[in-house]
Amino acid sequence: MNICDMSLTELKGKLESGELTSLAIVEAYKAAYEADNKTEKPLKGYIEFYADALDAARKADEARANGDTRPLLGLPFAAKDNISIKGKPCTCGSKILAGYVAPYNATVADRLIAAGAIPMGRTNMDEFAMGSSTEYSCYGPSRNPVNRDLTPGGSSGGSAAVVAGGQAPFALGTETGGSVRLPASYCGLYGLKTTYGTLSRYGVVAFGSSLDQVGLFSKKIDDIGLALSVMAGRDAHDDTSADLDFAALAKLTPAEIKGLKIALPKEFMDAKGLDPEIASIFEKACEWFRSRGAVVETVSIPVLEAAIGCYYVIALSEAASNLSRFDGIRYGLRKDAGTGYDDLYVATRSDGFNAEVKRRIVIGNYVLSTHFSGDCYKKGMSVRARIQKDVGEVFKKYDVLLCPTSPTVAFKLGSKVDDPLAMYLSDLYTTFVNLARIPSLSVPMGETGAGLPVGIQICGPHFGEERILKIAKAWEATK
Amino acid sequence: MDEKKNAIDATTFENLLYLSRLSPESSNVDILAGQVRQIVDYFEILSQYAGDENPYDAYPATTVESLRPGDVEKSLEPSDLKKISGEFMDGYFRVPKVLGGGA
Repeated sequence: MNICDMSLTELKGKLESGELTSLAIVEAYKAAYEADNKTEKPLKGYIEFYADALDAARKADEARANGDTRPLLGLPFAAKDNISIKGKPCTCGSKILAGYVAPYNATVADRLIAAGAIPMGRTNMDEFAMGSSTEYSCYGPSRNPVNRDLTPGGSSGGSAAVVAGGQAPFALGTETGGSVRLPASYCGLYGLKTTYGTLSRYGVVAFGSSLDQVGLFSKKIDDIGLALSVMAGRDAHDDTSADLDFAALAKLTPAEIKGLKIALPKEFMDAKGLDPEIASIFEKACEWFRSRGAVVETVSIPVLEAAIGCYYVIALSEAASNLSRFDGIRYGLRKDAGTGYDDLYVATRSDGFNAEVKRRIVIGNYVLSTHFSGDCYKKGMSVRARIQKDVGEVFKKYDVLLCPTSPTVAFKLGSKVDDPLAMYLSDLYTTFVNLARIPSLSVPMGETGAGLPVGIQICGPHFGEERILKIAKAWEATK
Repeated sequence: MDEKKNAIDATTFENLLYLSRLSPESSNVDILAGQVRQIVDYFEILSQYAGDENPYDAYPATTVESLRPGDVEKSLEPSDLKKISGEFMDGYFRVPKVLGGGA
């Protein structure tokens, strides 16, 4: 099998048996990236393939020869452009952060590196993770490896494109409202959004702080378990990180499907805009569970119809606040005509942010202003509390909740870029997970007649990552 | 959404741009204002589900929603900071350029 087609765990096995070297692995991905860049429609998943990745691979091979047995030694990974890697640019796909170099590692990257992994490159994203297609990146859009005229999804579309396109075995993304699961679904990958608190947010550029979590992309479910086993757990730099021991996830075993209680939210199945082919694939997935003895029942959670509105009220309020730090003083771009601070702020932000980010900041400031919007923000928070309560009630009776990841398959590049509301509705099935702070895994469960991947998400209770990964393992074992 | 809410007219939109420290000249204001109105209208659905019985902090979902007690750790001494900072010169920390310093 070609190196670029292997999963992270397959590569780990080849490294440990001596069949491959880390240098050969990184060279193979570099060659794949460079060859793709010469094609008519390159993926453009990477913003930068790190020049020192080959040196790091050589050092890993030397360390292995000297007896180093760290679990991820010599295995490369890619990371989204909003995750700090010390000494590397971190620009969030934005002109306003041009020239900014991260002075420290994000904890998630630091833990992978401490386990021996090699950061291989930074990946494309919608500016400040605001978008569902990567078209809102200052570097231009990424393409979907399955069909290069389509979006890979977003905002972590670059990470999905490099894994699905055979340019990395594994990648990190971030989620605020579906930015890992949506691209995973569009590109035919596994994509995990962890429980809020499972992974540290230290060193990850903030968008919506009460919603943000780091996520993981892979071709095989074991890869996510392996990476999570070294990344999860308390971090003194992030008070919202939880005390967890996920070491057991390094070796996943399949879940027992018989007797599993699965809830299907009626509101999503009845939603307008659900592609009939996706509905059909979802029904087949439900039948797979039923045929193995699972109890699959429809539940009603009416408040889910307000999840998108609630999400955008809260996410954009937090974004308007978080992005106020980009004013030309401390980071990146500065536009200074010498006419005073306020002019400097306005000129820098107006030139540095793209139209989508500006739109979201303006809406966030509208929501945060009682004078303009009344009690809009309070209503958003109240609805979020209700979503947390009602989803929590479901998990008192059911083990997992199952629904499609997206109402549609990957859409054509350019088809929604001028229609922000249509773009926002791509997140129809994903935002409630972030609002409820639960984990959710998008699993590649089938293809449409046109060969486009379809993802189904398995959502679990808080810190129920092990449960949903093991269910996916059982599914994968039958494929 | 409620009676207190102002419609997003041209003046309100101008004020929102100022609050956001964004220049009206930098964007197509008419298009942006229209899009903002369309999205804000979408928030109307919240009124159907928001209520006093669901205050924002009524249902803590995870243990991480209440902060742990802080761990007190020894911080660096000024002499240690001087050793690790590249911005230390002649006995002082250098200031950002905007304040007229040399960094």
